[in-house]
Amino acid sequence: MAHSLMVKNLSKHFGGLKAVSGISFDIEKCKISGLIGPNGSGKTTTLNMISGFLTPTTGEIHFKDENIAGKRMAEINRMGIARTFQQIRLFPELTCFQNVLAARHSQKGETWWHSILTPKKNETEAKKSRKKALEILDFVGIYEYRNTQARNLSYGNQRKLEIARALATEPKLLLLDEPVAGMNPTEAEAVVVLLRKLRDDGLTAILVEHTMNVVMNICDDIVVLDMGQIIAKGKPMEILANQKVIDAYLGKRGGKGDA
Amino acid sequence: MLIQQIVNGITLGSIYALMAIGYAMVFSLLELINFSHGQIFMLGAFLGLYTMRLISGNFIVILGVAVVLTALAGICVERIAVSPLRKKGAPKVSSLITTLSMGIIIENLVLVICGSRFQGFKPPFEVKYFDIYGIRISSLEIVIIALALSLMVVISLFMYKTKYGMAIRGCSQDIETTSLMGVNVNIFIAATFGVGSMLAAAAGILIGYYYNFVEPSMGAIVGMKGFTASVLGGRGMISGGVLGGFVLGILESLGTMVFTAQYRDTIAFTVLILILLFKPDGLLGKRRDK
Amino acid sequence: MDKTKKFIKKYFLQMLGLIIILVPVISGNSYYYQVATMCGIYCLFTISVNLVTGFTGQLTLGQVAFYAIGAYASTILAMNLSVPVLLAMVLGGLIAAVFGLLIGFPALRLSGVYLGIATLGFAEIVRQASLIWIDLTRGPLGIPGIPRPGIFGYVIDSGFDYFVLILVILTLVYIAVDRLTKSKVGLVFLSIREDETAAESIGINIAFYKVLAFVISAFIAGIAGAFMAHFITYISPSNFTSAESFLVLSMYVLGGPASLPGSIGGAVVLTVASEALRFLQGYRQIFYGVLLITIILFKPDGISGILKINKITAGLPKKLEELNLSSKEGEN
Repeated sequence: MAHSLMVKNLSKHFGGLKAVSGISFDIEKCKISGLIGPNGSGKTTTLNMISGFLTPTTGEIHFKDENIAGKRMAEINRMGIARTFQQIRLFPELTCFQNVLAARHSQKGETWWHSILTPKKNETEAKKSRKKALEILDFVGIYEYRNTQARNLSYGNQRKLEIARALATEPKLLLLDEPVAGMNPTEAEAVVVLLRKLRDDGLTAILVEHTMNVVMNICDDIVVLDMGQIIAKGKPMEILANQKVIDAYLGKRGGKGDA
Repeated sequence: MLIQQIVNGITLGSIYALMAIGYAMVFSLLELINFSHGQIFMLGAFLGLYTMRLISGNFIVILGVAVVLTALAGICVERIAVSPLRKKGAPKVSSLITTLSMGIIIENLVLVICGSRFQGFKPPFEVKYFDIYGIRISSLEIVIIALALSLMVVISLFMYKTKYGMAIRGCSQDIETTSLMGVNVNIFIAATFGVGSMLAAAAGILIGYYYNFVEPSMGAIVGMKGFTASVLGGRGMISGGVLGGFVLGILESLGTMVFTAQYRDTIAFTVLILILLFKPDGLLGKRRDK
Repeated sequence: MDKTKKFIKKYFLQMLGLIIILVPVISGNSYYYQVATMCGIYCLFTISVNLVTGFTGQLTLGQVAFYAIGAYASTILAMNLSVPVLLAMVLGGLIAAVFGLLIGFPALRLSGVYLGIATLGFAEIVRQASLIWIDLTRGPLGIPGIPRPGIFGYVIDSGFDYFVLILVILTLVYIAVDRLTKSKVGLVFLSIREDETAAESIGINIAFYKVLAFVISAFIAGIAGAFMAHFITYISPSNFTSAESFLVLSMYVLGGPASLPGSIGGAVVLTVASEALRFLQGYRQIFYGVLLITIILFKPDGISGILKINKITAGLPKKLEELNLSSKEGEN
C-alpha cells in the first residue's frame, strides 16, 4: 500500500500548552482520510504543521521521501501539498478567475523582467494557464462567477473557490480544513461529489471536519484525535463503534460532540 | 559628568514616559497608533504659553486651562479621525493616515496663527540650583520628575483602582462584548484620548519650561520619541510606556556623550527601528505565538 | 448632460494629460513648463509609492528617503566623479535601489502600521545623515550648481527640453510598471496584499516579491530624485523633509491604490494645486491634511474610485471576451 504521507511522533507545544503530543499516522494514496475529534483536539494544528504554517516542536513528516517538518509553506506547496483554511482566506478584491490564476504563478516560468521587456513572448503559456484556470473553475462548479470578485460570492461558493485555488497548484495531497462548515446540505453535498471526483481521479486528501455524516460518507480511513493524541484509527464503521471515540465526543467532556 | 547626563536623561525620560502613556492607552484600547499625539503635546505647550500671557501667571491655572483645552482637542481628533473609521471597519493603516493628517493640521494651524519663531516660555517660579555630591540639579528638573511621577501614579491608580479605569481596561480586552453589555464604548474611547492628551499637555508645558521656549515643530520629534518609548517598553502597556520613557531618555543622554549632541534624534530613531525589528513586543512584552 | 459626464469620466486622465502637455507648449511660458516638469517628477514619485503600497500592501511613509538618495547620489557622481549626467541619474536610481534592497529585507519582519513607522524613521535617518555628513553633502548648505543633463553634446537647459526629458522617462517607467502590474507578477503582488498567508499557501515566495517591490519602487523614486536634482540644480536636506513625504502620501491617496492612472491624476492635481496655492503658505499643509482625511473617510479609493477606473486587470487577457472556455460557447 503506497503512502502519500507519513507522520511520525509529531508534537506541537505552545509554551506550556501541549496542543499535539507525539501523534503518528500514515495517509494512503488516492484515499480520503478524515481527521476528526472534539474541539481543541489538535486537528487544525496538525494540518497547520503538515502544510508548513506551524513548525512542529518534535517529530517528522515524510512526503515524497523527504522530511518536510519545519519547511516553509510555500516550499511545501511547491512539493505538492495544498490546503484550504478553516476561516476562508481568499483574495477578496480579485475575481474568481484571478484567485485561481494566482495559484498558477509558477507554471509560466516567466521572470519579472520578462514581463517588462518582452511581455508577448510567453503568450502561449499564458493562454494555457488561463485555460487551465477556467477549467478548474468549471470543474468545481463556479465557472459562471469567473469575473465576479471573490468577496461578492456566497459562502458556499467561496469555499469552492478556495478548493479551486488549492487545486490549481496541482497538488498530490490536498488538506481541507472544515470545507463544508456553515454550508446547507445541498452545498455540502456538492462539495462531497466534487471530492469524490477528485479522489477517483487520483488525488489524496486529508479532511478535517465536524459534520459527521459527511465524514462517514466520504472518508476511506479516519484518524481520531482527542486532547492532542490519537485515540483511534480505522474505517468509518469501526470508528463509529469505538467506545473511546464515543466517550471523547459525548461522555468525558460532558458536552455535545458535534460543535 | 556621567551622573549629570543621567539626571538629564531621567528628566527627559519622564516627559517621554508621559507621552508614551498616551500612546499606550490608545493602543491597548483600539490597537491603533495616534499619530497626532506629538502635535497635541505641542498644542498643550502653546496653550500654556497663551494662558500665561492672557490669563494668569499662576502655575496651577496655566496647567489647568491648557490641560482641559488640550483634552478637548484630543477628543476632537478621536471624533474626526478615528471613530468614523472604526465604525466602518476600515483597515488600521487608514487611521494612521488620518491621525497623521490631524497632526499636520494642528501643527500648521499653530504655525499660521502663532508664527514659526521660537517663543520664550519661562517657568512662573524661580529656578534654583542645587549641588548634591557634585551633581547639579535644578529645582525645575525636580519639579518635572516629581510632577511626571505623580501623574503616572495618579493614572495607574485611576486605571487599576477605580471603576472607570477598570471598565476602560475591560473595554480594551474586548470592545464588542463590552458594547453589547450596554456600556457606552464611545465615551470610554473619547475619554481615553482625553486623558492621554491631558498628560501630553502637561508634558508640553514642562518641556517648554525646561528649554525656555516653544515652537510649532517641537511636537513631531517628541511625538516620535514618545512613540519609541512606548514600543520600547511594550506597546499597549502603561507600565511599559513608563519604563520605555526613562530608558529612552537615559539612552539618548548617554548617546550624546558618546556621539555628540548632533546625533540625539538619530539615536532615538535608531532605537525605534532596532526595537521594531528585533524585539517588537518591547522590554516587558511577551511574544505572542500566532 | 449625462453623455458629457460619461465622456469626462472615461477620458478624465487623458484630458488631464493633454492639458498638462498642451498648456506649456502653446503658451511657451517657462513657468508652466516648470510646473509641468514637476508634475512629471511627482508622477514618478507617486507611482513608486503605489507599487509598493497600493499593489503589494507594504505601507511606506518614508519613500522620500530613496528620492533623497537618488538625488544626492546622482549629484555627487556627476560633480565629484564627472560622470555624464544622464548616466549619473540612472546610477542614482540604482544606488537607491540598493538601499531598497537593504530596507526590503528588514521590512519583511514588519507589517502594517509598524512598517510605515519604520520607513518614516528610516527617512528621518537619511535626512539626518544628509545634515550631519558634511564632507559628502555639505550639510544644511546644500549643493548648488548641479550640472544639467546633456546628450551627444547637446545640453538640456530650457524648460521645453526638461519637459520632453521627463515625459520620455515617465512614459518608459509607466509602460514598464504597467506591464509588470498587469502580468503574473502583478497578480502575485496583489495576492500578497490581499492575504499573505493564502499567497504563501499557494507556493508564492512572498519574501522575494515583497523585496522586489521595494527595490523597483526605490529605483523609480531614486530616478525622480536624481532628475529633480539636475533640474532645480540645487539640493539641500530641506528638500527631503517629512512634509515632502506627506505630500507624496497625499498624492498616492488622492490617486487611489493600485491604479497607475490614478497616481498620475493624484500627482498632477496636487502638484498644480500646490503651485496655485503657494500663496497660502502654511495653510497649504492644512489643505492637504483636510483633503487626506476627507478622501479616506468618504472615498478611500480616491480618484480611481470616483472615476471607476480601478478595476484590477492583472492576469486578464487583453480582451475580456477571451475569458471563456470554448466548450462553454453558446452558454451565458
